[in-house]
Amino acid sequence: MTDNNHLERGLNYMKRLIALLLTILLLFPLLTACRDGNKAPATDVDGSSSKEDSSNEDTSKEEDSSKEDEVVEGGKLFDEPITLSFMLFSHASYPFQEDWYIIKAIEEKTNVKMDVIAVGEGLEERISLDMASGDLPDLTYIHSISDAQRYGADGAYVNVLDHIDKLPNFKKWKEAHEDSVIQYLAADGSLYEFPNYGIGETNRRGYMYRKDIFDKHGLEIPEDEEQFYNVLKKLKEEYPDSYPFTFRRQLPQFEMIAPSWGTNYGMYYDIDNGEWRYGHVEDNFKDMVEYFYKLYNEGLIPPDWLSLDTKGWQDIISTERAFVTLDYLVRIDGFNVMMKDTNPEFHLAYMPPYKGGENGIRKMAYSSIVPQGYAVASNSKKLEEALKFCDWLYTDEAMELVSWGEEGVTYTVENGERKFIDCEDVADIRKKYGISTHGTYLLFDYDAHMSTFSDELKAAVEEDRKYDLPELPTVAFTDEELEIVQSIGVNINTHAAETISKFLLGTKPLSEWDQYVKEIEELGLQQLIDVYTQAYERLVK
Amino acid sequence: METNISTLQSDTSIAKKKKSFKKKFNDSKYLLLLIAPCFVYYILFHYLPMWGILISFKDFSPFKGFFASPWVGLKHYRAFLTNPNSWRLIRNTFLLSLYSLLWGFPAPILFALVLNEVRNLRFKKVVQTVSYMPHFISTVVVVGMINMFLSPSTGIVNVFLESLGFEKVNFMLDPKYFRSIYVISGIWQSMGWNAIIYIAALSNIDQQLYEAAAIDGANKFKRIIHITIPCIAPTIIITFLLRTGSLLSVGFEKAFLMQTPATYSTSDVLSTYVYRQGLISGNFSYASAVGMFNSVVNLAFLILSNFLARQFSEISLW
Repeated sequence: MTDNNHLERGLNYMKRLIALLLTILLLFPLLTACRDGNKAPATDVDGSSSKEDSSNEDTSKEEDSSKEDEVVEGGKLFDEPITLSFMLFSHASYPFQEDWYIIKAIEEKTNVKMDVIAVGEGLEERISLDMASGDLPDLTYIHSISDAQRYGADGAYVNVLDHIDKLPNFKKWKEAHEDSVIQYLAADGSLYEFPNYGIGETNRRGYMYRKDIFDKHGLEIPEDEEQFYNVLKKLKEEYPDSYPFTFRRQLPQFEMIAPSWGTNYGMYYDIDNGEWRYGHVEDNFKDMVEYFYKLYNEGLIPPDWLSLDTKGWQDIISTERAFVTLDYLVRIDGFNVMMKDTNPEFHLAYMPPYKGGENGIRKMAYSSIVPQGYAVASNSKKLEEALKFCDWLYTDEAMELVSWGEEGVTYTVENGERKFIDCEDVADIRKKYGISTHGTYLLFDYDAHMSTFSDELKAAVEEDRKYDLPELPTVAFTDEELEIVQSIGVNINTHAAETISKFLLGTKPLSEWDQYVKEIEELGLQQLIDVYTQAYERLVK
Repeated sequence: METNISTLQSDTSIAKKKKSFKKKFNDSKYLLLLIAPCFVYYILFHYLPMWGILISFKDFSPFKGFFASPWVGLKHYRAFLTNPNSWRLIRNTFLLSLYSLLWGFPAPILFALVLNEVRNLRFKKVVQTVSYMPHFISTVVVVGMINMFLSPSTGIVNVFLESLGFEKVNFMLDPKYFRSIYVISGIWQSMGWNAIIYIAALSNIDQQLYEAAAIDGANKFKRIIHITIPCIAPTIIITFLLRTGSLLSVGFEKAFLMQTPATYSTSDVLSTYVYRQGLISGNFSYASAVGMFNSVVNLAFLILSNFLARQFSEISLW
């Protein structure tokens, strides 16, 4: 028999194959691995938010909704039960539950069975994957305007304005809130996303101070940067280990601070002069940087404020080494409750903004809107129904339902005021009933959240509204414009953030400011401004 | 096993004699069966996706799909290479990996060698287990820990420095520390895990060699130099070659979480820059162009180091 021979040849063949395979195996994963590596950013959408921490979500403006629109009287929205598919974001702190009260209630009112795909981390990645497969849910609660616009322009989502005649409630709301709608418009004027409205107050940000400490040392609330500095200085003398003014979010927190100094963070629309400007190179911005360098240098803000994360910030506040901070106003309740046990005196209270520098104003930036809303798949088999469902969410009836629920079930009325049953705070409302979770509302009555606030926080919210600057416009870009924004724009922002950080830390002397401005201009600032101007003019037309 | 690869190739010419495919297949069907899952895996998950490289020459839009997206030639490559930042990005990426390789590569080997000399088996197991534990900690948590330890106000490192009479250091905001922090924390996190392969290789060494050497009067150190290291050299060289093949692939997550604009001059790497360009919202074509560029450079490094390995030792990938 030649068995041996066969075996040997077989082995040789195998060896050759193995050699070949190994070579291939070792080589090519690299190629693919690298491509995977570049997809990685997509999965880290949430990484970014955790870095800058937006523990609260959604923003938009609160106003009275003055609508006496038609209601689906008594009956349900649809006569026959139908099923619509949804894709919603499921927050880690209140993961989506099918048997939440609110889901049942919406189904009850509309006769729509909600077939929900709840996505935790990486919603945006999931959406882009679904794009590739073309298999989209009827309704997606999308978190980024630019995503909605890009996919919409590709034909994935319906332009809501094409169907406006079928959307009486939305139409009525839109006519009363054109300013809010304009933020959502794509470069060609299309609207690929039903805007949400009302819940944005969660994101209201402002200054807060330790009232107990201020009172103890007879300190006044500062009105301008000079007084602010003196107060901090005094506090530092009293408490040498402290960093009297501590806040998180690092550089981007200038979004809130800069407008009080008569400038802004990055590209912004100057309403008074009707032009687009770049905040980072303005003289007012320079004054602010100089001021913060002074604070840094004298230990009035933490030495690591440009890398301080949420945890570090919380530690400094809760170990009582900071007396002024800047964050979401709902933190007033958060910290006061948390610190009650360790220090009964602890009292964090609202502080109005100070006027920064000569050209400053005693106002605060409007805490930006977060652009969430429903996008309707253009290839949906139930397009009409999906649109009708969204339209329903703009009725007063729906707003009432999705904000409050039902008397006796989710809330009770005491002394004419509504109180949620068994809910200490907003988190409880969400966890228990699902009310105000993603995708359950488009219009929201913020009083529902306010009902859980302490009187102090309620007053703070009311007070802070007086210091609101107007909401600034955002723009949508065409593909050509976007390329400039993504290349020149990113280069400028990178260089600006890097250099500003150095000025703030004193590793670059402020005498080199002019040089820095020149460098930014050389990177193509004018071109960037032109793109914004062009995009804006198209929008307002 | 890898040591044989280069010699295998010369053998293959012997088996040139023609033979029906059926017979050959029949002879080696069980061996083929063994390799089949691996083969299918690579075809499915590594070869087929390579078509995706083509989108770097298109303006890819996910909804339009692959075929309907327009061709744009080298537009995305040009955009990347003409970017004023690209040189700095490539340099940062390269240096970060290079330092990780230079310092991070020997660490697990030394660790495995030391551990191999431990005679108390129980102690050895405990150390091994504890040392690879950090591998399972999420990057986000690791960076959080780094931030805490290095904080200039309360961080333990700075408290220690201060007690020794040094100035406090603002580690996370100083570009010159970024790479060191990145590399050292990387070593801490992965040393134990990466040592596993060497520990496995060490356990395969014939104990008789040691006994013979001991009889000849070789001390511990000499035994390591003349027996242990030569025995695990193939493993070392192969892992080294593989590492050089990923010189431009710096993980996104850690660099992103650790960097601040103040440290961009050393911390801004390809992946973080591409992220800032808004690739979260999916400029897939540009991302694949950068990825492709990355891969080509990596491949070049791999071939170069393999060539060098072949020149100076018997061991190489092919």
